[in-house]
Amino acid sequence: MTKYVLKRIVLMIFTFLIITTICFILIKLLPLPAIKQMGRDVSLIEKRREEMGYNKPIMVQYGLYWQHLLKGNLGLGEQMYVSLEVSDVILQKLPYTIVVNLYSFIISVPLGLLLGIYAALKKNTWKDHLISTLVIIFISVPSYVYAFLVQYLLCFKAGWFPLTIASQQEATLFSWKMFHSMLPAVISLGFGTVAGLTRFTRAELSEVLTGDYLLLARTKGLTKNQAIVRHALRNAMVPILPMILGEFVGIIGGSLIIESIFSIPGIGNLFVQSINLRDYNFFMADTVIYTLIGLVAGLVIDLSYGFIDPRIKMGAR
Amino acid sequence: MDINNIPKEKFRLANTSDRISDKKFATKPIGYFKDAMIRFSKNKSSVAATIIIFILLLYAIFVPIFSPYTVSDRDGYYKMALPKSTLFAWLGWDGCGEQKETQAGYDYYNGIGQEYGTSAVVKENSTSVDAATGQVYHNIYVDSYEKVGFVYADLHADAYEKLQRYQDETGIQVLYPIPTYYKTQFVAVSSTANLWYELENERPETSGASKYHDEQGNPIYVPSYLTNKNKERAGYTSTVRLPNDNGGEDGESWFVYAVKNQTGYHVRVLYKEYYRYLHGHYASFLFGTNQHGQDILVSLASGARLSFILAISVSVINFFIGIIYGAVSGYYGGAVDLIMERITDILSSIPFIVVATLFQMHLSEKVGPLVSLLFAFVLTGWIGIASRVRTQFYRFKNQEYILAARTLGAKDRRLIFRHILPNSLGTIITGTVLIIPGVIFSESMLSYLGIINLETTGMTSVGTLLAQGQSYLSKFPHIILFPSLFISLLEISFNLFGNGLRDAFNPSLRGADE
Amino acid sequence: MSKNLAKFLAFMLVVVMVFSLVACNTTTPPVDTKDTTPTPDTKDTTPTPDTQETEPDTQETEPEADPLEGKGSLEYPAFNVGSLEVALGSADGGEVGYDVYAGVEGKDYTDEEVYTFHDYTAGMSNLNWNPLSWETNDDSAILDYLSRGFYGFELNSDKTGWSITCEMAEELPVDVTADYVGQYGIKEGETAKAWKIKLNELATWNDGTPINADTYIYSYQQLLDPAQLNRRADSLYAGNFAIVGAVNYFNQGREAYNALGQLVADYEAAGGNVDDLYIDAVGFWNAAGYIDAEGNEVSQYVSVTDETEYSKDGAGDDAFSGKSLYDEYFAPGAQYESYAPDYCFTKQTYEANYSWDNVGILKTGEYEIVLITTAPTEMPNYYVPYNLSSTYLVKEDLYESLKNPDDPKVNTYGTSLETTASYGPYMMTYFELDKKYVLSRNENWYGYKDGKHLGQYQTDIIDVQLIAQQATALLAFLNGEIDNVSLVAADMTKYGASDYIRYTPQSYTTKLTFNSDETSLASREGKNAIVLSNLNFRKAFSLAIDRTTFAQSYTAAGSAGYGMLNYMYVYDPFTGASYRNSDGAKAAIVDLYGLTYGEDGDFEDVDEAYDAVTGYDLEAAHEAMQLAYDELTAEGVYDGGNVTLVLSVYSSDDTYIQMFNYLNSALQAAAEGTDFEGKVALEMKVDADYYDSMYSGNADIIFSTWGGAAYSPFTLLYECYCDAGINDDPNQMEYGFDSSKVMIALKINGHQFVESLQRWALWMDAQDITITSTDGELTLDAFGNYDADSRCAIFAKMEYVYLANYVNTPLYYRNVGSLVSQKGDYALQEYVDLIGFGGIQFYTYNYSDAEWAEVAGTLQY
Repeated sequence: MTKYVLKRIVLMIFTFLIITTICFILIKLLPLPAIKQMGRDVSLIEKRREEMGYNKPIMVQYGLYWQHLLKGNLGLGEQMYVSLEVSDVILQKLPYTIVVNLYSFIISVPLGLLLGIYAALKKNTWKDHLISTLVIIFISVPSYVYAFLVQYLLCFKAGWFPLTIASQQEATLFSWKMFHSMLPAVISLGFGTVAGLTRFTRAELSEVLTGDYLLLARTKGLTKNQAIVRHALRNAMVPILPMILGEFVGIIGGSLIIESIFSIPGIGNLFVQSINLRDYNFFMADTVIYTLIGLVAGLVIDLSYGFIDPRIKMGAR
Repeated sequence: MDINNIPKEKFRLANTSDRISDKKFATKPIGYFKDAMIRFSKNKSSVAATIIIFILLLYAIFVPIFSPYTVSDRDGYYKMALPKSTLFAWLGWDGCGEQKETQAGYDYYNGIGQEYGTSAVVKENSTSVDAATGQVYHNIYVDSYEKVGFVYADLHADAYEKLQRYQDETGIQVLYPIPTYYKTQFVAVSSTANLWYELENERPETSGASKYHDEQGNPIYVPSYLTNKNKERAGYTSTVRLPNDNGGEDGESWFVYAVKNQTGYHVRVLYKEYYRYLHGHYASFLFGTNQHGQDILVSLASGARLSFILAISVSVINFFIGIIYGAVSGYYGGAVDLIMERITDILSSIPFIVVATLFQMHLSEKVGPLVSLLFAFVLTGWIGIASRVRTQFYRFKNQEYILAARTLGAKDRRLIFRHILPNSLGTIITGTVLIIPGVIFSESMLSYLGIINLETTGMTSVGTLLAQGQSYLSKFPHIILFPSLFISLLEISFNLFGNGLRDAFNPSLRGADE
Repeated sequence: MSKNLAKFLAFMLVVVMVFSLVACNTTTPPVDTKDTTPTPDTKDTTPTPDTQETEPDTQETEPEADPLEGKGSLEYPAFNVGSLEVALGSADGGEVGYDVYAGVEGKDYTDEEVYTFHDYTAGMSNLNWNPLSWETNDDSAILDYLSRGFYGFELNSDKTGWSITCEMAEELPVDVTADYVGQYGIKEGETAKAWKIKLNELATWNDGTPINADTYIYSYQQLLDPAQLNRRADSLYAGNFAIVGAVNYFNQGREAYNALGQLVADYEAAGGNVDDLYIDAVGFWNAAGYIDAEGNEVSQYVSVTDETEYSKDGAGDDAFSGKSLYDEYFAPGAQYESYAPDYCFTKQTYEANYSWDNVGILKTGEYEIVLITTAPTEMPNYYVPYNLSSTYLVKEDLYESLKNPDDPKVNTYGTSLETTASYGPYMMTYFELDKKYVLSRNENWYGYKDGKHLGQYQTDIIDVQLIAQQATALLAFLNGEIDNVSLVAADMTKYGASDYIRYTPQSYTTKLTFNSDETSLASREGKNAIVLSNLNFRKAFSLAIDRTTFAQSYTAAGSAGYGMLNYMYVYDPFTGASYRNSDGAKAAIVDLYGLTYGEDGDFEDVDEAYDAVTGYDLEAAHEAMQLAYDELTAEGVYDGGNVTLVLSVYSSDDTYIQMFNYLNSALQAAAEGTDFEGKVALEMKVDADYYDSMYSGNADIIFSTWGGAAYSPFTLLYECYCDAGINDDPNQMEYGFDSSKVMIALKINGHQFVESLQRWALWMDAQDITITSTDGELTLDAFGNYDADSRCAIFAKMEYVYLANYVNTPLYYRNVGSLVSQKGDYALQEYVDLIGFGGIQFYTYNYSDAEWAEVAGTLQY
């Protein structure tokens, strides 16, 4: 097992290197942002770019990038957050993203599980249909629709919450006031998670519930509840738990749309912006982060299978 | 005793009677897929879902063919018109909406249509006075078609003549006099053609008739038209004129119905009549119009058509790639799995947004935005199915029946396709079917972020409609309502359909009726 | 805010034109996405007609002999634009006012209740208010609160326009050129080159540290520091107020390669030495990575005398040397002679260790500095204060501590609360990245002590938060959380009639710009884009666009545009006379569209004819389209197949899509009934760098938007529209349009002049051009010496010619519509140039913060 894990980690690093290389090349293949500004000396900006190494061959630039990266230097903003350290900017913005997503995770995971279990147990009753319908609506309608609807109805019409989240001038990150102002965003973020988890749990559990061993368990004299809790749930958790873990790891990812609607100064929009503006350092930093999240989540999920269900042997034929 | 040489006579039949009840089945054998079909058709909700999908498909195919409107009809004036159905008007489906307006706003809307004796304000629901500021607010019910009112148009001489002839033949007045202040620097107020009057904003404290108020203190709209002593100024020879256009007290102040300009004639038309003149019918949109002035009923159908084509292609391609890839990876495990997993890791970790952006930038010029989008979806889209398949293989491949089959000498291919894959087919099909709404969903996200743009060649997609409707959500919810309804309905149906398929295919449910 | 924007435009030195992307506001174009400035009422009629005397009849009949005979070419018709009478103007230009509006009752607001102005911004990721490197309008908005210029342009006492005030300077600048004769390149008898500025002794930083001459010297030295490469350095070394020696100091020790911009033959004829030329081997030969026999990599610029052979792998067949390239391709008569302007370069070497002592920024006293410019300033009593309306001061101790030891180009000054120092009316008191920043009254500002700013600055706190979505901002505004919000086209149906809507006219005209270059258009495979090179085709397209409908339907507050310059351009800063409303400018548009006026004309006078212009005439469009078809097929460049023209736009924004759809249908309408019917179509392409694409000929049609210096409109013609490559940084986006081939005959004061559009434009751009009449009797003075009306009239003729070539076609003039809250009022109801609505200085409140909390959210707009 340890050997397998080690092997996976080494491979993960290998994958990571390939992805960052590909992304670096892809972004560098795009033309540099235009610098045309009437009345301004364009040569000045060209000089700056020359000195920043923009005109060197891509692989040389890539080498330089790694030189800096290995020293722990993610570089400075070039097209956005000019002259600020990329790491500084991300560290300033990350807490918001984490906090909002964490709240959303804490609230929506249990809710999703419960709803899913409930729906599975009440399968094909009107309760199940109601839950399933709502779930599908929330999955199928993009988040920007209901996020704005939440903002319009709960914040503007009803006035229960502020339109945008509080700033740290008014409240600290973990205060009640901040939580209160974050709630609309938390709710909007949560819809997707709850819906996804509910559907997944329902599907898995109802499949398990038709399994032969449940019949056997009942035959052996277990009550329905005992059979469900001890056998069905445990088995259904095999695919569900990794999904939750993956969700958890993804907490630092941030959501562009929700963050932009509720003015959350998180890292959600960094990525799209860095592509649009072609800020290489931010783009790379983001790529590194998202790739790492993806890889770690993948590893955790795969490993967790083995832990949860001893019958699944990883890497064995 | 030598068991190899048991004498024949030692054997004896156990049953010597003639009757053998074990006979061949007289019925036809039921195959796997037929069985699934039977099971599927017993699932009422799945059947209903299938029908709904079918209806949605029909809607997408036929509505654009039969509707009087097309996607490329963009009426700049009937923008964001509310849904209107003559049949269900009594349900409130009447193209009207409530608005809270200040006195100025009220006067403005109330003034529309006064020239021909009606008003865009269908009724006034209530009036309130703000305690703090003393401002008066009117809650009015306004007809979103009527409130377009009048617009200015620049007509070529021929068109102008033709319109006058139409007026004379039908007696319907389309051209109305030009107000004195028809030139403004800021044409932004698209409704300036509706300002044809003078009005005193403040209502008098005590009642009493004046130029601007009647006995009750209600406003009177005093016309302020351009006048000229030439009755047929700027070639207005039509006999249809406003009733109060009688040359004024001096008999020389005739209203001016057109001003000559570069295009020909600058005229002020009553838009609903002008619309009828041009199109042969009044404007009335079942689902309303969007911000482009397109009929939502038609554009949604066309969008759905495109979305269906895109999504179904993506899911079919992904289905095949995903199954083969996932099966190989999951079945063989070990080094094969690790390498294949690395490849999927790498592919799936390249952010989709980068893929989509790059494809759009480099590929769409050659193959068009739609195909390049398809490629982007396919590049990483199959990974979900592959990993699903792979997971299922991990689940099943060590089960005893596989061991048994292998012991009996089954080959890899047989194990994969006959023994393991059918087990997973349920989830895979569910997954594949759900790619369809998933693609529509992602496409809308990309549209929203401005990365793709399917609208440039007269196309539209449900995602585009959703993405564009978002900014109008608080003001004109109907723009986003119908696409949302459509996509929800679609997903519910596909989901039920997928579930039905899975239940039907799931061999563990075989023989048991729930 | 409003004032800041307008004023800010003024602040930019020189021909500060901000190149900005079109009016759609969701994404983040480089400049100017959100403008919260309020503006005049809608029901206002067009600006008052100006009172300048009319020029002589421009409709004059053909002169005896056509001066242009044989001058036109097939692509570019020649223009005979009639005659003008012009006169020289006075040297100083006119009188400037110095009396400033005293505010309401001259009240001192500094010790009363708390008033907060809540504002919002759509993005903060590019916020950088380092005075030495700021870039965007949002940056300048902050800097306007945090700093003051030497001189200010403030609302005058009768609230009709601007007056000049002394801010960081104690008194008006004094011309001391005579004192420096023989130094800094000043010759005997010159004036208006050296200016003594007495500094405001009350000025301090917000912590009380005094600001004296040393602060200025230090700041300017940092600004020009060759290692720092500060983005704003060009403010001192380029433009009309360039400081002596600044460019040498900034570039010391560096080499620069400047594109030749002309044929080698012309270069030689002008006395250039061919051996000094370099060739861009990387650009021309794609030779990046090529090596010579010893394995040394080729540098980008190779001398034409260099005979070293470079090739891909050191010995391949595609070997070249600088000399071979030159001889084969660029030498006079060689194959690609015509590429020389772009691929041949001259090298300029700047002296290393250039001493600061040679730079024309001198400390002449504890509170006195002298600035010496490379060229004399015209109309100094206006333009000197105008060019000195900003100061670029950094606080020495803070700035030094923020320098990055690894990289001198990096300095985080002005990026956060800790790195900000103020010397203006407000100082930063809170900053949170991508969330909000707060500015509060800077009690140490001299203005609160000197008694000259009574009745101003009632606002105590300016609170700016980030709201990315316009829809959210509108909700926040309706809730009373922010005090203004800019509107989009869709809001107009609801708020267009509001009493609280304000329209801010902007100096931008949005146009469709066409690529008319045959070579690049012909390279679009299977698209027949070549049709765009035909003038009549472009004209037909232009005539099919109903600009009024276009502006109404697709812009929030834009108005139909017909000319290159809109109503914002003032041709005489002293009278404030608007260019667009001048008779000449009106006649330019009227003539363009062939409307006739006067006795035999369709319209009474030029005003009436101008009012009748719509730019929309399908009948004429059809004619032009058919003509285009005939010409194109006759030339044999068009095969009669389907035509697809690509419209490149910044993003796939909803508004662009709507505009695209409209234009597409307009183009098809133009083709109706002609041989082009059913064959032409537009295609939309998203290209964030679409203007770069156009500069390099890779776009067919783009939206282009020039705007900016509303007070020096005449240089625009050359800088933006005729500069196709004479300097190494051409701005002209009309790819393929060669203004040097457009011949214009104009009679001035009775003498006939025949010159190319380009030369006229260069002359108007104050470049060294001599314009002499065909009879050789009259040589025109420098353009700047003519009086404002004369200049206006000449420019109008050129504008007409330019438009008549249809290499671009104006669509609409940009205006911004925004709602202002009922919390307070601006000093002005109507927008005034340079002043806007009076700005935050004169903003007065109807509600204090506490009172506002009571009513916020209950008010309707």
